[in-house]
Amino acid sequence: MIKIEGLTKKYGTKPALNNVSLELPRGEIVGLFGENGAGKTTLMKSIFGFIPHKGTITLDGEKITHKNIEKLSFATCEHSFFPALTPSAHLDFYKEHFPSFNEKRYTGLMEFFELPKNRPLRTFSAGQKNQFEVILALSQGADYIFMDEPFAGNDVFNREDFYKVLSGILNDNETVILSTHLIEEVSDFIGRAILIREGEIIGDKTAEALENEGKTLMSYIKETYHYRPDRVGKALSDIMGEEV
Amino acid sequence: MTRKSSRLVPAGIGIKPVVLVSLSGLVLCGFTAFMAFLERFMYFYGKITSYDDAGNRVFSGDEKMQPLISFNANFDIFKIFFLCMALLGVYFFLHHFIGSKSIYTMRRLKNPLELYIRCLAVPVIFIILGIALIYILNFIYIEIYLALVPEEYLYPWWNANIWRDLL
Repeated sequence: MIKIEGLTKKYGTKPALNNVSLELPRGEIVGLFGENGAGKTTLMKSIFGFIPHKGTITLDGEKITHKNIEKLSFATCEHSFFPALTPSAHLDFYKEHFPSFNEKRYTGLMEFFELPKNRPLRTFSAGQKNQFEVILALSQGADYIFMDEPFAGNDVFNREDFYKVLSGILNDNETVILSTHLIEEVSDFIGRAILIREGEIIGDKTAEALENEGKTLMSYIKETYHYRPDRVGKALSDIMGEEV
Repeated sequence: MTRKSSRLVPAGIGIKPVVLVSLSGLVLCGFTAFMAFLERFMYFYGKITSYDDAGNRVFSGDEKMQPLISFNANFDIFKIFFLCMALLGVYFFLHHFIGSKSIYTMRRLKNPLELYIRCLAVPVIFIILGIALIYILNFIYIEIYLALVPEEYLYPWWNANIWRDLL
């Protein structure tokens, strides 16, 4: 389990995360939702130790260090692959550095997405780069797979295929933490929704709890964010100077 | 445990061109330092020698041969090379931010030194080779002195100075 306690991060004087506490048990597919700048990426980067922060983050009771960090993988829209390397060279690199690397899954996903194996990543399209980024994260052999806006630039068919494949290949002890704005698309796929706003967790519910309450993910998010449906009409009316 | 040579540079950078360019720089510095020494040597050598009627070079006069052997003199020529090597290390680190953030992958590796080995191995190896070459050149200069300059034309303390300088 990943346990986060009192996580606080500031960029200069601006708080990015404010005393965040969270538990992420194994075997969950967690959706992390929030506006741009809400703190989703900062939360993920803090867990990996990429940025300095206050508070404690543990993985199975131990601090996350180089000894256990291989249990975490990261797919980011910024991409973490090596642009000059081919997928085949990445395979060698990952096999060398990640002993639990799942080559069978890697090969299967590469074939599914029909990605070229011997072309440098820098020559790939934006969508292909995203696909490869996610393939690496899923194949690393990690227990916790963090995905930060992994499908930015992918078409809807690709994304839909991906959700199906993802829900089919995950083991019971694998956890996916998915940060995305594509709420409707992932609503059937996630088991828990965490809402973050201005660096604070403002909502955390399982899909089961939402179902019992008769709410959809979208309605839960709108309710938690105090979404005002009349806002657009008012704005248009102000701009156009007439009743819309 | 041996380490593949390709693991001495960041992933995606070929080791061969890096080594070739660095080696060329090292050789160029060595050659320049040696030529600079020869030029100075011949200048002072000319001061303690003259030509006889038959056109042979003979030692003459009261002047002594200047002790031109100095670690610092060579080091000045190698300074640019060492600076380039330091910049190469910086470039290798920044390479992990170009085109993607592969730094995230490097920082997730089990071996925390992997990133630093890949960034610093080649520059450090070539800086060590550069320092070694400075010493080798100095030994060559000593041999040239001993072979070409008679003892009576050397300052009595030249040996002491050289060793103080080299060590």
